[in-house]
Amino acid sequence: MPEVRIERLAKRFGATVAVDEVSFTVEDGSLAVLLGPSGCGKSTTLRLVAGLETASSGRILVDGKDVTALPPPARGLAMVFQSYALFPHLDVARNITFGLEVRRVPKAERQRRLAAAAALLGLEGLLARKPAQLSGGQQQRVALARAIVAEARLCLMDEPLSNLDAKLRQEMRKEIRELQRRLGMTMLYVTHDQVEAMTMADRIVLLKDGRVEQVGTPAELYGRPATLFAASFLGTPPMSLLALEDGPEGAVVAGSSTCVLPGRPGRGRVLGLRPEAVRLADGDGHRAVVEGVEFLGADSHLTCRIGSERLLVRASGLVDLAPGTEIGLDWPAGAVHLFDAGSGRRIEAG
Amino acid sequence: MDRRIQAVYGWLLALPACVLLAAFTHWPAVASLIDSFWSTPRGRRPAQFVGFEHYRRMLADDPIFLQVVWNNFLYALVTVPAAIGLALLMALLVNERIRARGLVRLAYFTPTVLPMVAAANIWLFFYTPGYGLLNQILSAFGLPDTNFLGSRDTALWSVMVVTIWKEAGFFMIFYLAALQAIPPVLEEAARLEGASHLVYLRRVALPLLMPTTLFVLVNALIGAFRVVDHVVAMTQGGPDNASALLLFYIYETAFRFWDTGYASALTVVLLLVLGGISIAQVRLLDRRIHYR
Ligand SMILES: Nc1ncnc2c1ncn2[C@@H]1O[C@H](COP(=O)(O)OP(=O)(O)OP(=O)(O)O)[C@@H](O)[C@H]1O
Ligand SMILES: [Mg+2]
Repeated sequence: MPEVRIERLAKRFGATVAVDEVSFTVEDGSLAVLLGPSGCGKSTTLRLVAGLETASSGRILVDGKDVTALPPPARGLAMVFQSYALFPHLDVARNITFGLEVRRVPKAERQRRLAAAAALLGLEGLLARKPAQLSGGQQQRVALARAIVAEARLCLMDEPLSNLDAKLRQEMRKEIRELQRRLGMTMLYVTHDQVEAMTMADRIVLLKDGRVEQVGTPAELYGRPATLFAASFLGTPPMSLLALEDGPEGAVVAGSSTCVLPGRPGRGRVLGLRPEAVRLADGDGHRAVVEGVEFLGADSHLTCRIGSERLLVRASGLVDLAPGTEIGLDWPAGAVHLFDAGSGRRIEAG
Repeated sequence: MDRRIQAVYGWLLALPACVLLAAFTHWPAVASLIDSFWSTPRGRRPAQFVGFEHYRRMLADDPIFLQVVWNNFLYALVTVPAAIGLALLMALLVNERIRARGLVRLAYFTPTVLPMVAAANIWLFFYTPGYGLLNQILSAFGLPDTNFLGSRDTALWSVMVVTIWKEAGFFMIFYLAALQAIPPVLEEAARLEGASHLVYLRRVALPLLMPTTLFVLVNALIGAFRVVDHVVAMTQGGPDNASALLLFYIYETAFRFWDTGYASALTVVLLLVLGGISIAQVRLLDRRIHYR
């Protein structure tokens, strides 16, 4: 199983820069997720790796070998498309073995691999059906099976779950991850769904406007977002971001006199707090006004206001506070994220 | 009451179409069938019932009919596959990313917008002995002058060429539409699986074009028995009936020789042929390969 290295890869379509000097590495046998909002260049990056688009500049290395100029079939990879791209005139079995037939794999071997893949994905009863006679989830499995029988070293997936309903998506997420681990595939997986990325990835490559915003494990991206964008993109509900101002004793939340960072400058900085890091303090703590409470069963989300800034607090169980109530909030020093408002970059302690 | 009036309105609205259809399609067909069992009235001799005499004459005493049927059969056998094959080739070509694609498409489609008579006239000029375009090309290569339309060996083939030239552009449009309805992601998937462009065409694109092929095939077949404008304009069926087609023969029998009884019988044969093709069409299209 190969390691994939992307080096300063770029793709321009006329004046638009779809992928802008992107670099990252997918380790052998791991699953990397390309994550980002719509139009950030995820699909284009994936298509560049697949060879379906030609790079404007940069290199793609698979196992140290430069494949940037190779045609798609020579790259030894399989791909699952968002629309599955099943051949409508072929039955499930022929769809799965299409590539093997094209590559003239002997019939016995084809049958063996087909049977194995069908068993793995629970498609045994559907082999004679045409794609139109399958549900979305079944079609998805066929597409997966087609990728698996190729026994490709590298598997690319472009939002393979976006056409499925929430429940099925959750199941397939687990299944794909399990399959990837069991077969030891190297996988590059595109999604715009941060939950999918968090739950599946060994590594997340966060993209924005064609550029890499941050690369790291889900825990790293969640725990130490490198930019304001990363901070706001990951986590449900997302991190609260509060503009800071200079106060007499240190940084204060804009529009208030609440000093949150004693002895430190505040102007031009943004304070980030995860909702689950903020606690309701009994006595003192930072003064805040409750604006609304959302009860979700296991916990409640409180929208609070400090000065002109809003922040979200996640408290367990039912919290019964009327809007307008003044409360005290508290958070550990370690839960504070600081960002430069201008560049959006994280500011390390200091 | 209201419903009655509405029904009357409905019938009134349908009436013109019904009348036209009955007067110009159904009644003539039935009349032809009846007339085909009667002799042609001549002078003061009224039509007499002759039973299947006309049909017997066709098969036993009319070498021209047999020749014409053979001509038409050959004509269909050659022009239909050739026009369809050419249409498919052109569609595949103009579906690729080639330069001046719009212009090429237009060029291929132009013959279709010409009336058949106009097309025939253009080709009449190409075929002209002596200074026609084709003969000029032939002479440039030092080949002897050929009277394409005036020689028994080449007349039918020359007419076929015009048909193919004219029909292919029309059928191309259907293929082009069908090709563009195939999601491009299928070719990408095929490519990733190791299929070359040709393999993709053979294994994916062509099978997906089958319903179109069937549709075009039936239309081409019907056309092969229904359109003779170019025969009229170019060869008048000659020389020696070498390029006569069934419909042209019917026309001649009815309006040049005024043998209307016999022409009616010939018409019935033509109707049977067209009816047979239509039934096959309905059957095949009903069972046609459904993908979605
Ligand atoms: N063939 C193309 N021609 C021109 N521009 C393109 C082409 N393909 C993509 N782009 C542009 O490149 C940018 C990135 O597109 P891409 O499809 O990679 O986004 P994405 O991250 O996959 O988005 P989504 O989540 O919506 O699928 C977009 O601005 C898009 O308009
Ligand atoms: Mg995309």
